[in-house]
Amino acid sequence: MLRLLMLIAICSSLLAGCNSTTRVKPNTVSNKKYKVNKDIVLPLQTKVAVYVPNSKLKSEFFAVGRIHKPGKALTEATHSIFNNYFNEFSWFESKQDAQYVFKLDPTWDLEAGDLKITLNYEVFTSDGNSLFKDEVVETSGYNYLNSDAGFYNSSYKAMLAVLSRFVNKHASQVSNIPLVSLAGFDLDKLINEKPISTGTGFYINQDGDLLTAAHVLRSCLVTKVKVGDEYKAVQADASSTLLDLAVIKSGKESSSYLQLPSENSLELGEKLTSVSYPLEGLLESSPNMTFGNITSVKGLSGSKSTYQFSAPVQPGSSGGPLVSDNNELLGVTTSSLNTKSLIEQGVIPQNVNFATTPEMIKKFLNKHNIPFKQGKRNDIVSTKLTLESTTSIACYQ
Amino acid sequence: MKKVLILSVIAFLMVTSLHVKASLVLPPAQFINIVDDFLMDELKAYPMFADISAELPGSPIKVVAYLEQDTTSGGAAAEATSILLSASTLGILPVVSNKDLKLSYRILVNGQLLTEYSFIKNVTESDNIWLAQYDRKLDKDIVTWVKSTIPEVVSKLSNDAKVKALLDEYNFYFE
Repeated sequence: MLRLLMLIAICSSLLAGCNSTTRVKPNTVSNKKYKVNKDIVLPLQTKVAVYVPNSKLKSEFFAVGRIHKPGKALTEATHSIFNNYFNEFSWFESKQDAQYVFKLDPTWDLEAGDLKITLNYEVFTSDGNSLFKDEVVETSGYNYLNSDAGFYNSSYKAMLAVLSRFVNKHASQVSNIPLVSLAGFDLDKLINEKPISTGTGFYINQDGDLLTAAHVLRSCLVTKVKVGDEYKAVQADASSTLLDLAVIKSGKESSSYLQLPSENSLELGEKLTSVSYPLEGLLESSPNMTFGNITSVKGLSGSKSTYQFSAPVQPGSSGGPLVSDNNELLGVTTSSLNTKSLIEQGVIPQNVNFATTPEMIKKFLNKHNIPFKQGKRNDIVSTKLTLESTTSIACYQ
Repeated sequence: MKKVLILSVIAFLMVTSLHVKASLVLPPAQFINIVDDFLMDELKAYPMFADISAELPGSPIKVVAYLEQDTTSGGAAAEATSILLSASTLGILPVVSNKDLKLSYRILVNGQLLTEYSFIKNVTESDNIWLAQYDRKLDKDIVTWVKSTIPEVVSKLSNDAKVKALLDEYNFYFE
């Protein structure tokens, strides 16, 4: 009797476990909770575009000895269900055309052993008119050793809610919606109100070119920079992932800009001023100024383009300038030492930060024909010039 | 005529073998190994990976090798049945599952994925259900299979336009 009870308990948990390691069947278009009206024939003869923040599509993490890929599961679930509901589906790109645009933004949490997805969504016609906007919450079983099905199934179920609602309400009208180029689609309708990350940039010449770290602009749907009194959407004009540098054209001339040193060599111990915008939220940002020294003329082992400095920095300082007392641009802030593993070993490093060398900055600017000047300036206090030359950059998804 | 033909074939073979041998060489890169300890030495035996090291945290280029397991649909049913059998006896019986083992090699530049190549092997693996651990040493057959993927990934990376562009840029800035 005892064995039978244990067998029943194990069978029950086993069925739940199967759910947490097996993906939803590929042709699923409805379930007990979300149904499609009987008179609707799927797939609809409709072309749709889907926008999901890039950070969600690419998300991965390492835990329990293996790599987990919620982004891959989300991507494949989106492909599967949208192809079941519509005869033409694509990811949002300005060069595409579509009748409808779906904006999907998922977040996941673990709750009582299950994976809970909260999917914020909005559906637009291709001319930008919002049809409806809401949030759906769904759960799925979760297996710590094989998490793919959990992320896939939770994503699939949540999108089932969105799409069944859409077709039940709008299937009869799809033929009236024109196929339109998305080139004119207002991207501000797709991005979240708050930037996903912020960084810093500074003027490198009179023409209004801003230099920053390339990773500040990575995967942004919209990048905004404060130019004068207005916030302007911009794009990278030149970029190097290898050096982690990028140039943005602000479109406005600037009388305040930073010059590179005439010499490429760095002097150990030289004083530096760092200016950055470490706070998220472009409208409330104010510059942060710190001071330090060149603490090593070399970066971490294996680096050929960075050196170490001690001026305190924070997230959002990336791309900011490091300036000498003679107003020379001595580097672009790119990274800080990851101290977590060192702290676990009882070592607590402080202010171990890295910047790109002036030599590499010059090579990058020359390669991309970005004009710049060299030499010291003593006609203005370096802190004042640095502040006037620096601005904040916000990345939106 | 025969001599000309033979000489042409020999010349062609020589040129072909030179082309195969002259593969690209990656710059000094940090190697992140989530497979098994043996893989580093196996990769470094090939000129392409001669300059990889686990001790280059400052290199903007990372080479990552990792393993994943995807349960095939047949595998899930086999595993369920096996678990039921094990549970019904409440003893120690192996869990039999069919899994696709996926080995991936990635090249990253300052955290951004440049390119990735994956290899898949279907395996049947027996594990004790009560003592199952997720951190095992690889079986000998799997080690042999992993080693067999290296020449192919060398060939793919050698012909990858993104890798060639990276090397051109690296040489421009640092050589």
